[in-house]
Amino acid sequence: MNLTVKLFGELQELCENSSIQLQLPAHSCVGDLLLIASSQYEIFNNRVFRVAVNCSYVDNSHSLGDSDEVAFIPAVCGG
Amino acid sequence: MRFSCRLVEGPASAAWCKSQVVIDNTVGCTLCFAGQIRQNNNQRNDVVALHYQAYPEMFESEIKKISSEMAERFELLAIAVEHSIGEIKLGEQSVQVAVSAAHRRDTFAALEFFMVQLKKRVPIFKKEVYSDGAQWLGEQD
Repeated sequence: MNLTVKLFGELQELCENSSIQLQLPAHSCVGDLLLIASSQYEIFNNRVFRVAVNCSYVDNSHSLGDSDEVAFIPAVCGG
Repeated sequence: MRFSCRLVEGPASAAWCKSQVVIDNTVGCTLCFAGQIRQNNNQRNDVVALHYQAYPEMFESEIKKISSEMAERFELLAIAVEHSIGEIKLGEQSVQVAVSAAHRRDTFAALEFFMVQLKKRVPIFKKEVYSDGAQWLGEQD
């Protein structure tokens, strides 16, 4: 499946893009997504961020689907 | 409990939040919070502005979740949140929060609860701008 990952803050700036496209095998989970993202973009290595799917934080075991809205969320600091 | 939130370009102002929480004559107390840009942080004393970015769809859904949690914990009638995006200069306000209730006691605890959750969970990203550069900030208390 082909997923678009939204990027914000420092991640967006380092990638020079507000999103990236990643190709994943069917039935991939968030952990698989992170491995593929890190292998293709060095900026994701050794950097702390959370993953949101359809506007909710998820852990690495969360299964992904074709229509999911995925985002990498760096440190948040509203206020 | 009534819930309202919005992102605004430029400084946040209290008027909209207040208008959203004074919902009827059962309101006996309104408590408002304003967050303002200050010149110093832990490392530097020359902050000239903050640049805010948000994930708008998740901003709304996460604040809605926090509001639901507040409704279970506190006796509130309404909450309203206005947060800035874009560049906010020193001395300007970047966030406004208002809560209303029949009585004052729960509003203080509820507002503190909300601000803690806002800083932990709501996808707003902040870049501190100095006279000679800028940097994205990590999570803060």
